[in-house]
Amino acid sequence: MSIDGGVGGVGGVGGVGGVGGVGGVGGVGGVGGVGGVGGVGGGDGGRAGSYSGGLAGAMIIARDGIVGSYDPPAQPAPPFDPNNAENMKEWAPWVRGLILEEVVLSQIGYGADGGHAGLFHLDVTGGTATQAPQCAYHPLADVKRPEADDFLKQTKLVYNYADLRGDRAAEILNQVGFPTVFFATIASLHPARNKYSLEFVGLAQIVAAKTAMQIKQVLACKRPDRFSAQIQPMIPTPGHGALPSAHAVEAFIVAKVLINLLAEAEVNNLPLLNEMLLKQASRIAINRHVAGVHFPADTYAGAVMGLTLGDYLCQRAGAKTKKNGPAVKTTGASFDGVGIGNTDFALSYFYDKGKIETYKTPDGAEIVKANKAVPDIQKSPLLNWLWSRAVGEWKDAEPA
Amino acid sequence: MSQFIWNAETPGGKDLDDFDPYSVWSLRYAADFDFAAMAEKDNKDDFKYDIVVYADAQTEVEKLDENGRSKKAIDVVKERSTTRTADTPNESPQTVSTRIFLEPTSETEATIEETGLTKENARRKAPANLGDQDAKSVDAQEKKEQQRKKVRDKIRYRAPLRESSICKAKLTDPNYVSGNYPKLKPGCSAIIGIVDDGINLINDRFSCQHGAHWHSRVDFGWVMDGKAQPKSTVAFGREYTRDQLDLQVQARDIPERDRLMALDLVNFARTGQQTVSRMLSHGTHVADLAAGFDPQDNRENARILAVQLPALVTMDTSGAWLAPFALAGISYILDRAFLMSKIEDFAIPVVINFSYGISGGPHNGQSVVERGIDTLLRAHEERMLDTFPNQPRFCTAELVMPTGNRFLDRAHAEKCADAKNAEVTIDLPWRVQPSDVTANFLEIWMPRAAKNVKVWVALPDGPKVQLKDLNFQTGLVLHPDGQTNPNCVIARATIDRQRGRMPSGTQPKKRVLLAIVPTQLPYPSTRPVAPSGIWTITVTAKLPEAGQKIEAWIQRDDEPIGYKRPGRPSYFDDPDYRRFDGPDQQGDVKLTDDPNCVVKRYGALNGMATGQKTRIIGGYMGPPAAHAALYAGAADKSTNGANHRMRYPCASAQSDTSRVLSGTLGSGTRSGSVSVLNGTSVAAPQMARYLVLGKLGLPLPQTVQVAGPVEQLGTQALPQPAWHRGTRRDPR
Repeated sequence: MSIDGGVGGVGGVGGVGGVGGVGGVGGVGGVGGVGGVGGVGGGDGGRAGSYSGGLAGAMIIARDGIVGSYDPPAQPAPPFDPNNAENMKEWAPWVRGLILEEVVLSQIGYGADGGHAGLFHLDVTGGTATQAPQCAYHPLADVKRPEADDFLKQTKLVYNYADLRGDRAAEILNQVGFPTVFFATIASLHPARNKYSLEFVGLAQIVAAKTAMQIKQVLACKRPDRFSAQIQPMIPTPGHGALPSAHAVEAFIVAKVLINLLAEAEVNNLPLLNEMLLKQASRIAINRHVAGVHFPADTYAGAVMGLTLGDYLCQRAGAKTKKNGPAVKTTGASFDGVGIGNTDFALSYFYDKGKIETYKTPDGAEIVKANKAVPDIQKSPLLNWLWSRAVGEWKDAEPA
Repeated sequence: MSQFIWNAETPGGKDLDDFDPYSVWSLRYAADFDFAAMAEKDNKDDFKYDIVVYADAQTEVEKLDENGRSKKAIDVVKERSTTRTADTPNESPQTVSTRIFLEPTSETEATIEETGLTKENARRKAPANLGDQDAKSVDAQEKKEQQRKKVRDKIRYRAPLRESSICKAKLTDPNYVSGNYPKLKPGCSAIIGIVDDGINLINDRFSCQHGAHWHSRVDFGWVMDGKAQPKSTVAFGREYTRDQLDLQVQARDIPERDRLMALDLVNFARTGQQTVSRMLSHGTHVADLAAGFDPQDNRENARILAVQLPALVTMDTSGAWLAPFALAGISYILDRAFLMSKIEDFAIPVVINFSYGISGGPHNGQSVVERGIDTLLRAHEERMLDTFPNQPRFCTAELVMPTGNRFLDRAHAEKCADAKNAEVTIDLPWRVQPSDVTANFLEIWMPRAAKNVKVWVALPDGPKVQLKDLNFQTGLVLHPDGQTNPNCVIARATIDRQRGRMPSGTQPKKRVLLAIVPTQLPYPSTRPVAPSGIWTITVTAKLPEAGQKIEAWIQRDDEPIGYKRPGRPSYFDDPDYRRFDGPDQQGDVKLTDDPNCVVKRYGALNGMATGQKTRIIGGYMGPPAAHAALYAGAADKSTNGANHRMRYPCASAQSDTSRVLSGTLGSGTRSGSVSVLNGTSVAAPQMARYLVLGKLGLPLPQTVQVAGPVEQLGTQALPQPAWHRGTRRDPR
């Protein structure tokens, strides 16, 4: 009971419908993840709910009428196999969401020095109920905040982007929160047919939101409307820092997850599918500049995080690059905002042929760097349970 | 309200003498609210340039070098002069050529500080009549003008160019390399020139696709306020060549937005509007109507030359800065077309679309822009004929312009003389809106030989005051009594005249130009503003012939597509003007003029489009060409004196799909997108397309007989453009 409506909980206040996003309009807890728009069953994450007083009363009386004296069973019910991923089918989607969120986030570590924050993958092996497992941290992604003068130069870009508000207003208002439908429309995701795929997408969005918040807290970047009184954003400036852009992390992680999912399911033979997903993610993120709540630097940071976390999440879920193919690999990446100046965001500057590449601005600032492959990312049976079902949703029926 | 008085301004000195009156107004009195204030300066030298346009009558042929270039200093338009005899019927007996030069103008701004109203001026007594407007002076002037063989008009315009757009190095020659396209052959090829704003040069509609290989149909594109390149072929802005565009058009895996950024066509770090980043941009839509094809149709024989005017020029819809840039753009297109024909070794005909319009101008085909256009087109045809004497049919250069959209704007008025030497008086109730942060301009035109011209101006609720001593040398300015600072001026009146003999059938005119400061400044200031309300302008003149007119036009003050220009348009608010039909004006929009009201709908015609060689295109509403679009500009029904008739449109095309469905479909800015745009701006390029289809040897749509007013629609109309399976289809 307490989890429903909890702070930031899956399906908390504002959950159904997901408007408001993490900490957006509707305040903290307005996460619309699993159970939000387009979520499992399109409704409440599979909650059983409760009975009204009248119904409970009726059920008490009905039981009295039919129950008879207690007749003890001869055998106990056979127990579930403990610590078995297959049991996931027994739990409601919202419960799975909580479990998997913990599976992922409990193995993401953080470190910081000054305006530089890092995410780490925590490899955990072994361990019992009483004996601690072995652990080792490996760098995943790091984000360094731009200098004050860089933000000042970026402010002019945000001012100029406001020209597009008339054109983009409908998109901006419909993309507050998690804009899952903008991806569903490209990949043909249906709430009933693709419920596990959408459950995984919802998980990715929560992971993105929560990691983004941690980094935002460390970097503590002011929003554009703190730099100039002429920005006058057209939506409320959310109650969290500017860089990285959570919309960017969330949009790019979803794009990457869907790309990997459809690659393994072998349905991304549609030639422009990946391109459309990435362009949509870019556009969602850029619309935030237009709205006046983000700098292009925030989008660079968010995109680097989102693309990296997308591969990471899929690798932990045991994703393969194609059916029966090799495992998806995660490459670490860095964003360094120092010296970004008035560089505007363009995905093709640092992303080509499916991977992040090092990018140096015309002024010589290396703002995006591709690092080494992240080692020791083990498959999680629980994540794999959901992932393999998501992949399975895309299989056509075999010939009779 | 403090007392305002009219006074002669001090002469501007040699530097200002040659300037167009709009530019003088801007430099002397409007510097603090004109574009220099509203658009941010990135650099202290921004906007400190002017452009010189020469309209010359010369009798010598200047030897041009083998590229057709003059060897003189940096110039935008090649000097071009030809001798023609007067035995060609209907041709001007004079030869006219146009040269345009770009010069820095820092001296001129210094002049502003020095000049202004002196105390002597403020107290000077003026003669009772209008200086050189009395009968004897006018007769003497007219005699001189009729005898002029050489008209060394040199007109300078303020140029809203940024310092970063000016090429500082010596210009390099343009280079054209043939693409060796198999379809680009004599007799079935065409070059389409587009002069507009916000053209996406890499839109798929301007490219060809062969399987995986894409290439651009745009051979050259000039963005006039682009960043000047270290090696430049243009005196200002940036030129794009086909191979630069091919590189981007071919990189299909990079998002179009990123490719536009790579070309610097979109740059959010740059001050000002980014029209190429919008969903709908005027230039892309218009260019698609004129020259867009499905990429798989592979129309590599339909080449495109594009010119994007500086944003500030487009934004000021009064047209104050337009003339030199329009001429420079058209000249550029013709020069590149000539180069292409020479390299390909066959004549390629040119069709240019220029979907811009202004209200003012003499409307007799002899404004600076109109003369310039006629000259440029003729000169191009001549050099083509000299080079390809056996292919006269393909040595043509045509230009298409719209009639404008001012039919119902109450921006035109006129009064006719009913007898020879009749004194005609016109009262113009000019309503100037409150909260209008841009200047307002009124042009009053009359025959150059009009005598005893007198002008009175009454401020809202104020007395009628005669403008004494208004003459061709000095303007008059309206300022608060006792304040002589040029920044206190709230209005300026000038008179100027067309020079020299006119082609037969053309009546020379003179103009009284009244400029008024905004009624509200865009920022807090102690500068006095113009009072809003009805300014009553009364003009009296003795017109030599019956049927001659005093005509008035208010310049546009609206915002073009994609811009935020915060002006509010002024208009003639005359109680005799009925906006709606029916006894109590409860009917439909009234589309006819009243003889007893000076404010007219007919005669509201694009003041840049009446040149002899220009094709004027009107806009109809819905398919049968029985109804003009409600706003479609129209020529005067009546003549202005014997034989002097405003040009009628040649033809019309669809501006609105129906009475309730505005506009016409065309490409949006991004490849694959669709947008709706209305206005006669979209009718003109349909005509350009018709001309191009003919030159390509493609089937032509069947024209339709016009059933609506010929003054708005011409006699023939193009059929409704067809949409087929998501893209526009030409007739099969």
